[in-house]
This record gives sequence, structure tokens and C-alpha cells, in this order.
Amino acid sequence: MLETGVQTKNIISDENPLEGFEMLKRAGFTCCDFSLNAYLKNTFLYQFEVNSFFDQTEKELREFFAPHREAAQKTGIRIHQMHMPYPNYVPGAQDGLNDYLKNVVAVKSMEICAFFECPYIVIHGFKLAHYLGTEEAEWRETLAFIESLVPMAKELGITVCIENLYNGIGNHIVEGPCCDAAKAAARIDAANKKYDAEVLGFCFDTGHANLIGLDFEKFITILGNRLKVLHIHDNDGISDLHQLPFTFTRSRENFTSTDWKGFIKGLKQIGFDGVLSFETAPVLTAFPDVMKLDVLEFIAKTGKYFAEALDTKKI
Amino acid sequence: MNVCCLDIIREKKPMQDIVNLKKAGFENICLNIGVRFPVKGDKPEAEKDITEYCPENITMRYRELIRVCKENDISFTLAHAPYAFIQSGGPDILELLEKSVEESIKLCQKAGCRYLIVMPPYQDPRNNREAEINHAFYLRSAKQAQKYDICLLLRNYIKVIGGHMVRGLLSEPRQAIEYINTLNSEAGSDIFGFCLDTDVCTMCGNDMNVFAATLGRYLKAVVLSDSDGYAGGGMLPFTYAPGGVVQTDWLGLIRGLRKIDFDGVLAIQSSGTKKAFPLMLSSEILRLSKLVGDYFRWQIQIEQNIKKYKTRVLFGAGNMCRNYMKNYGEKYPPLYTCDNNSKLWGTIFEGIEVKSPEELKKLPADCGIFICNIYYSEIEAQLREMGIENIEYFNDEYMPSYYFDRLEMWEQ
Repeated sequence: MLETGVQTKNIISDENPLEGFEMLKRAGFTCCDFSLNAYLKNTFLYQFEVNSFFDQTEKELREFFAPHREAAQKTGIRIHQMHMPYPNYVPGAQDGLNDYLKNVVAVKSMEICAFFECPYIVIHGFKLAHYLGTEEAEWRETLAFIESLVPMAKELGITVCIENLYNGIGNHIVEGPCCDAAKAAARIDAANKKYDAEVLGFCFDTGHANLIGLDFEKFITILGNRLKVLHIHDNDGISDLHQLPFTFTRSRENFTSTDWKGFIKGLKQIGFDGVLSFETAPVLTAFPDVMKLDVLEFIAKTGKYFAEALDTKKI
Repeated sequence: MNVCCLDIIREKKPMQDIVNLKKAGFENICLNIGVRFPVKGDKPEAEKDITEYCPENITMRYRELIRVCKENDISFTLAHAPYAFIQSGGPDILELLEKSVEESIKLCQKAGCRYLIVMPPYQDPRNNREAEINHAFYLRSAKQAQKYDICLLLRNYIKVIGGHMVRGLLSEPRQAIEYINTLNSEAGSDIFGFCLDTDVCTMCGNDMNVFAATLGRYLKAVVLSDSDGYAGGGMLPFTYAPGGVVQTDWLGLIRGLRKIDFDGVLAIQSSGTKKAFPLMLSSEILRLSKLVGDYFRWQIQIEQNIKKYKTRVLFGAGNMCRNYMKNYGEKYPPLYTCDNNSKLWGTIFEGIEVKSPEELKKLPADCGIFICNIYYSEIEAQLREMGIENIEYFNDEYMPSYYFDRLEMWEQ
């Protein structure tokens, strides 16, 4: 059976990480997705603002995260994946900020990833097509960023994972970087061949895919074994809500409006052997705090349902 | 590039619609061919309609419309074959569908229409059998189309999951090309092309730049239609804009169509908008539709407009001039730019000299003057007063690329 995990945001506190990891354990998870992005928020970066968290030395950061690592080890929760702070490039910002994101934040994120013995780090591709005019030109910039991390990734045994993202046109969501599975697969293969190591992989985000109506099964099948990491969550097909799977319906018949069958079929076809990891932090702020454990247990059970479906060919 | 009206013309009494089309300035329309297909639960009285609006009567029913259009110099640049999707438990309409396409092809030939949009019997084939039926249907239609030299257009579709509209048949460009290539190869000629429906693209969150650019030569027609992006709407482009912000990727579409030098049919959909407006104003919506269509054509052909002049000069030394220089400055370098602000005369902006508008009087006859300033009308009037000709508008709202910033012009 596949393992299940969930992102640590809204669960693990810096003051008492053990409490959060114990809760994960009690809820039934064996893995987690460490939300490193919570330490440098995108909302601030888009305002060209940056805090001093990543100004800390590598030693200081290790000391800061030592209790987290210890708590994870003590509870037997494996840090399977983590999310690098994003964006990694802010259009229109001074070079100083973008250099800092590339040379300081990204580098230290890799170091923290290695400190946690975490094999996968998820990054966001640059959102530059509006300015540069083509998706190809946009990818070249993302690739240059990835390649700046490759030597570290290779040395530390980390696979950098690109994720399917979206863009906004007014209030409407359209496809963004890495939404073409065939292109992504070719690019991952080219990078891994060039560096003779599995330095690049893919993170499939179910919520982002749902927003642009992707065919889950087809997308996952094309990715094949390049798919390393999952961000499982649900939405109404309109906004990126990061809610529980099976929550949304859009017709009076009340069937799910997200292609979960396609998701399971796709994973089954490629023999996915990673972690069923949920990116559902907003669920925890929506429910009353006293229900946090109940909600986490339910998320873990949903993960087990997926795991069983993949295991026993129920669907 | 043809700008065509997609609205349905009432074939029995077409004159009023034709008058409105003419008033709006349309010279091209879409021939929307209809057939009444039997559906599950039809009552006996439906038989009369089914008989009257049967495929065999297509030629007879549209004869008058074609005649009136010809008399009024209205051409059919696009046609839409009758369609219905086969539903489980419903009547078997496959033969009727095939007959409808066959008769539509003949009608297209009579109407002088080159492109016919043909929908498949199964919009969302759920198994190999349904996919094979679609495939065989298209191949049989191809034989007839080859005989009459009509190009059959496939298009992109949505499918529905629990009420959520997601990507369906041919809603990814490479999938569309592969399908067309297979059909063309089996048909023995390039009889199939593609019609891109922007409404479907918006609902599917497609990157229209990539979609259009990938389709390339396969793309023969584009349906310009706006919507809320979730339920579809068939609205006039730019009219769905909550808070004054458009929701459709028009920038991407224009970029993509420019890349492939699109020269096909731009079909303007405004039926949803017309329906929303009072009947008395519908002819005005038609006029606006034509303007919108012409605007798209102008934007798509912006580079052709620049290169038709041997030399060119810009008017304006601000962001629009800067964007001209970024996107076209190397390929089509202007002699200089001019500006009414005398403080700028003699300075260099974006690598070109800023001169007084008076300098324009010395230009050769084959030089185009491109207004790079939002005060188009005022500047055009000023230039006409000076006796200047070859006045063109440049616009940077849909550029191939952009700077990360815009200049704060008050600083100047």
C-alpha cells in the first residue's frame, strides 16, 4: 500500500514541532510535505518584500530546524517532499531581489531539504510568458534557474520537481507553466540525460489540473515514472481552494466535479509508487481548530481510500 | 483574412437579417445549416417538423437564402453542418447525420463556401467503438467533400464531469493535429482542417497562444466568442468583463495567430450578447461585432501593416514608442520619432531621435507615419491639417512581448 502524507503548514509549529508531528502520526500519516514556503510568503514577494529568514547562515538554519527533524524522526514521520518558497522570480522586481531568490533562498532551501533527508523539492516555474511572449522563452528562464541548482541536487541526491501551474486572465484561470505533459516529459528527460542523474521530476497538482480541466489520466500516463510527487487537493474548478477531495459538485445529481477516477486510473497505469500527499492546509483553517485532528484523520482516510483503490483495482 | 458573422440568418425570410448585415458592414457570413433530428421522447406531432427539416430538404430550404445573399454581395466563407450527438437509449441517427453532411457539402458548393464545420456523432466518445464510429463518419464524409472540393473542419470540444466543463475531444492542439493527420492520411488528401472555438478554449483554460501556434497551417477558422469561462456564453469578444477586466486570453490568441500568419476566417460570435440586448438594439450589436472583427484582423496583421511601407516614422516618445522599438525596432527601424513636446526635440529615445512634427513634411511619399500615442484622433487631425498622408495607428495592447515595467511618463 502506498503511504500517505500531508503538507505541514497549519500543523507543525516552530515553537513545538513535536506536537504537530505527533498529531500527524495519530491521524494516520506516515509522511509529510514540509512547507518551507511558509517561511517566505509569496504574497509578500509579489509586493517586492522579503523577510530575513533566509539571511540566517546554514548553521543557524540547521539549528532552527533541528527540533523539526528530531520530532519527525521520533514520531516516524518521513519528510518525503518539501515546497521551496515561490515565486523564484518576481517580474518587475529589482535584480537584487531576484538574485537573492536564486542565490540565497533557493540554495538554502536545497540545504534544508538535504538536512531533512528529503528526496524531493517542488519548485514553481517562472511565470513570464506574458512578458517574454512564448512558453518556450519562459521555460528557458526556468531551466536556467533549475540548472543553477543541479550541481547541488546531484550532490545531495535531491530531485527538483516542476509543478503544473496556472495563470490568471482577469479572474479566470488558464494554464500556466508546465501544463503540457508531453513537453514536461521531454524536458525532464533532456535534463536528466544531460546531468546523468535524476535531477528533475514532476509534481502533479490535482487542484491546478482541475482548474484548467486537464485530463488527469492522460496527463499522468504521459508523465509516467517522471511523476515523483503529488499535491492532492480539490476545488470548484474556479478558484484554487486547496480543499478536501470529493468535496465539490456542480450539478444537482451531486457527483464529484473533479476527475478522481481519472486520477486513480492514471496512477494505476504508471504503477505510481510515491506518496499520496495532500496539499490541504486551507482545510485546517476552515474547520474549527478543535476539529484539526478529526479533519487530519479524514484526510488520511481519503489517502488510504486512494491507496486501496490503487492496490486492489477497485475502480 | 475574412471577418465573418456567425449569427443565424432566418432562411425562410432572410431579407431583414441581410439588411442588418449589410448595414453593419459584413460581407461574409456563416451558413448555419439546420436539420430536425429525432430525439428520445419525441411526441407524434414532432414528425411534421422532422419531415420538413430533414436532410433531403437542405438544398431546397436554403436556396432562397443563397440567392438573396448573392444578390446582395454577401459571401459564405464558413458553413456549419447540422449536428446532434448520439445518446445512449436514443434513436439511431447516424445515417441521418451522414446524410446531413452529404447534403451540406453539396449546398456549400452551390453557395461557394469552402469550409464546412462538421461535428462528430459522439462528442465525448467513451469507448473504442464510439471513437471508431466518429472516425468512420469523418472518412465517409471526406469522400463527398473531396468530390465537391470542400474542406471539412473539426473543432475543439468540452466534456462534462459532474457539471464541470473540462477538456474534451480535440481540446489539446497536438491531439487535434494527430487526429487530422490520421484522417487526411486515410482520406488521401488534406481535406480536414481545424476551427478553433475560443469559448471552449476559455472554458478549458487553454493557452491560446500555444494552441494557435501549434495548429499552424491546420487552422482555417477561429470562432471569436466570449464567456464567463465556466458555462460558455457565445458572447461578443470583450463583453464579459466583470470589474472591467476581460477573462479571455485575447492576448494569447492574437500572439498565436500572428505567429502563424493566420489568413483564414475570423468568425464573430455575438448571439449571446444579441439575445441579452433588446431586439431593437440587435442591429447595433451586429455593427459592433463587425468593428470587433475588424479590430482583431488589424491586430493580427499589425506587422504586415508596418512592413507595407518602405520607410516609417513614429509619432510619440512614450511607452507605445518603446514597445514598438522592443518588438519591431530591429526589423522595421523607424527613421525617427516625433513629439509635440518641444523639450524632447533633439533628444534620443529608445535609440532614435525625437524631432518636431514639422519634420514630417520633408518625408518621402512612401513613408508611413505610425501614431504611437493614445490620442489617435487629435494627432491624426493635426497631421491631416499639416497635409501629411500615410497615417497609421500603432497600438501596444497586444504586443508579442513586453518589458517588465512601464515608464512613468509624467517624469518626462
